[in-house]
Amino acid sequence: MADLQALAEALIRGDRDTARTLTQQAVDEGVAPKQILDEGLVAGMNVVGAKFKANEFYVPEVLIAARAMHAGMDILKPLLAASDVQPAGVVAIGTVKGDLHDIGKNLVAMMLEGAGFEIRDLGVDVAPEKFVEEIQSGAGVVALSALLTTTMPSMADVINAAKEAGVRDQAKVMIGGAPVTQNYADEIGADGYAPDAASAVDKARELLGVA
Amino acid sequence: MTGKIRAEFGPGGEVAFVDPETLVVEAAALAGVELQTPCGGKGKCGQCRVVTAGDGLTPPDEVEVSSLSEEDLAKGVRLSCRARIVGPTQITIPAGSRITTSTILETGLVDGVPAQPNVRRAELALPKPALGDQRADLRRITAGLGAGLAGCEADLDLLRELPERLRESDFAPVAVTIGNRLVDIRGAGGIPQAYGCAVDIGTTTVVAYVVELESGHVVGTGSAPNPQGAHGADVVSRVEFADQTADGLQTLHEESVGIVNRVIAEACGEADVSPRDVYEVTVVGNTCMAHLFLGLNPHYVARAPYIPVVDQPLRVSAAELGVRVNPRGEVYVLPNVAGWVGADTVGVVLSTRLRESEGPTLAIDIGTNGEVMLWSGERLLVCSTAAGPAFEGAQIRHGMRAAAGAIDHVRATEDGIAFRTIGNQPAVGICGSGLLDAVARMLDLGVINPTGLMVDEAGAAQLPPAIASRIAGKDQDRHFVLATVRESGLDEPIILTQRDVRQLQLAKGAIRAGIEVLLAETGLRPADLERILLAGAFGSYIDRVSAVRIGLVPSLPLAQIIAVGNAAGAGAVMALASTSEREKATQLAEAANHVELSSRPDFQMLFMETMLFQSG
Ligand code: B12
Ligand code: FES
Repeated sequence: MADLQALAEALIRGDRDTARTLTQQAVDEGVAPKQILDEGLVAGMNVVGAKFKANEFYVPEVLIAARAMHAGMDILKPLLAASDVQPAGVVAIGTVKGDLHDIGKNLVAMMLEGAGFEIRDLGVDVAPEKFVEEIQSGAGVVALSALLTTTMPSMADVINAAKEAGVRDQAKVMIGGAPVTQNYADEIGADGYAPDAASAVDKARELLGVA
Repeated sequence: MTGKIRAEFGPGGEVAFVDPETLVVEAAALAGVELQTPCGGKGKCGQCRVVTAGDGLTPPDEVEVSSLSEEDLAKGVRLSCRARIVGPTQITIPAGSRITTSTILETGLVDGVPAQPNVRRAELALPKPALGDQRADLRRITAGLGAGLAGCEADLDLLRELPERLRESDFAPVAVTIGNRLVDIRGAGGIPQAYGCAVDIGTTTVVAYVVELESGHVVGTGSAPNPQGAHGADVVSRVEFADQTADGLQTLHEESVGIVNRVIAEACGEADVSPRDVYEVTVVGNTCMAHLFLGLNPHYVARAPYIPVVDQPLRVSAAELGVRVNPRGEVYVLPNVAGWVGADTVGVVLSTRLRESEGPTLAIDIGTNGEVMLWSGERLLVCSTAAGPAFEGAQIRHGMRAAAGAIDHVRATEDGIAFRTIGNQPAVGICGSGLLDAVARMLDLGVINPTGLMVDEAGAAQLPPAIASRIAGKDQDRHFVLATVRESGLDEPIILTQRDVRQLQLAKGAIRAGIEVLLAETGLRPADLERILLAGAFGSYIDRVSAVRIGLVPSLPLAQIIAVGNAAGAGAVMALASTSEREKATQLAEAANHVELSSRPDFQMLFMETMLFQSG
């Protein structure tokens, strides 16, 4: 019987090879992809997130764990799509215009992915219109990252662009990045802010009303 | 005195009378007490704390409530960048929040540069005019100046005074030229020496050196904190201030010129030189600082793709810029390499003779923006690594600049640790070099593991009691006590938290990742390096063993890791003392290959590895 707890543990350790082997083994034994995802990968990333929040894990450990998660995810993704499993939600994420910092954004994307969200990663230096297009094509959450105090106003630009396009109420806007604060989120009318990648998952769940 | 409110600042008792709603930090400045405000008043850094009793201040706003602990708020701790004065008040400023004159490094290495200044002073003995010699005054002077200056020009205002000055000197004047411009003419003995000033405009500190041009010797120095610091510790906050405040750019420009004037005056004072006898000023600084000094808008420098207004060297009239030296003097700003690799880096490359090194040599200038320079033996590569201000104490719980009372050195003892403070004052905080040492010792002692995690209760129990008893707290706030309440000059112990260690990991990881990228570009391995040069004040104070221990720099034998002092300022001095050095600086700026880290897909992986504590 495939050991999903061992899979979760491999992920927490950042052991990519074992994560890949155990995922494949579970698939071969006929365990439902959704169950492998939930009890193996998501369970593991939950622990990683909790440890990260407590400062017990830091950026390197999370990135290594995420790499292991991706090894499993690569196997599961086509199966999940085929079995028509609904993601927890669709998140379009990117670093705003003028800013090229993406490590924080990548961490948030990985954690969200590890929590069962579908991620559309738009990369860095993303123009407001791109985010608007994503809302139009069904993203439930738009997640914006900025690491420069000078590019924070680009977050407000995205919100304004969404308003102008008449799609502001079709998606939740979540913002973050080292210089960003809850105050700033309130000021520009974003729906949510989270200080770190693990809290970003909680926030996304809260915004979409999923458990 | 109508409507002004009295604010008194302890422990010094300085007083200011201010308008209602004046920010505490501004009131303190009026009283002559400068507070540090690294985050520019966003309530993010918590470094501008003050303590007050009574109700003379506005109630804590949301920002203060979220960034100060309840305990602190109960004690009357406030953020001076947020709290405003509404009634008579007494405010105590903890030593850690004050800007005191930092211990700034004064000279670098400028030996062996033959003086060949652009400014020349000549004592002339001219033939007197006669019917047989009807040359015009200016022609007579230029002929006396020698062949190279035959086509010499002069400003109209000097020409207007020329005939009288020449005759007063009985045709034996002292003349000063800058390039081929005649800029001064006075009677014999009128200009005993021609001087120049080399200025290094740092984001944090501005330094000036007065140079006797004939010999090329530095005869006086002056330095002061950059007053733009009030708008934020890092460069981007300054740009933001320029963008978002009415007259922001003008304010920053005036502050920059103002502080340059102040340090020049101070340096001149030290050397007993009149600023009127200073004819040329060379300037280095990062690209933003140089732009602000010139009054150029750095708006596009701060945003991708980071475009400066100019990168070539600039020659400007001192009077036009408002630089108070001889009114006909000139200012020469050295070239930059890119938006984030400035003239200061060019100065380092110039003065360290990096490109003339025999084997592969690395130079690092560690400040808020760490610049890394690598000479591979064939190519010169540079990059900027955005370390952040952790090494200057920002974002660190008890962080502070290298000033009196800062823990600057931490060593292991038989059963624990011991520290030293600057000026042997009671400890009030920890500066960059102390931070590096503390983390290195904590690694040695097993207080933190190679991932940067502090030991838990069980792990602590395994450590010697003298160490274990210093560890306390939970999660983010788990910490190591560096100075106990008794050893501390504050009414609390000086601690290093888990969060602080994480901040250090970001800063040192970014610098080391920049080093690794440049090495990878040239196919070199760390062990191939022959020398590592550490430029800047920080580079001169850090313990090299600790720097290697935490992996900030590659591990080389200590003799090959060399502190070179204020190499950027030294570059400015060399460019002042010699026109051929000046040309060389321009060539170096053009020859340097700028590696933009933002677009490197391999950065993330390297950064992840370099954030860990593996020396090697
Ligand atoms: C690594 C780094 C770089 C790398 C970036 C590599 C990359 N691919 O991202 C390089 C070296 C290329 C770089 C370049 C620059 N950088 Co830089 N950089 C840093 C550094 C050292 C760490 C940033 C980081 O990755 N942190 C780790 C991540 C995981 O944390 P994070 O991004 O904050 O993300 C977490 C949270 O904020 C949150 N989060 C993030 N995004 C989101 C989004 C949402 C929706 C949510 C909910 C949450 C969330 O979750 C994350 C995980 O918990 C900081 C300094 C420091 N010590 O912090 C400077 C820093 C951010 N850079 C800075 C600057 C100025 C630059 C440059 C403009 C100039 C320069 N060379 O110095 C350039 C240009 C790049 C650009 N414009 O984008 C400044 C910004 C100052 C300011 N006032 O804004 C900093 C603060 C350094 C400093 N003080 O000088 N930089
Ligand atoms: S909190 Fe006041 S300056 Fe940073």
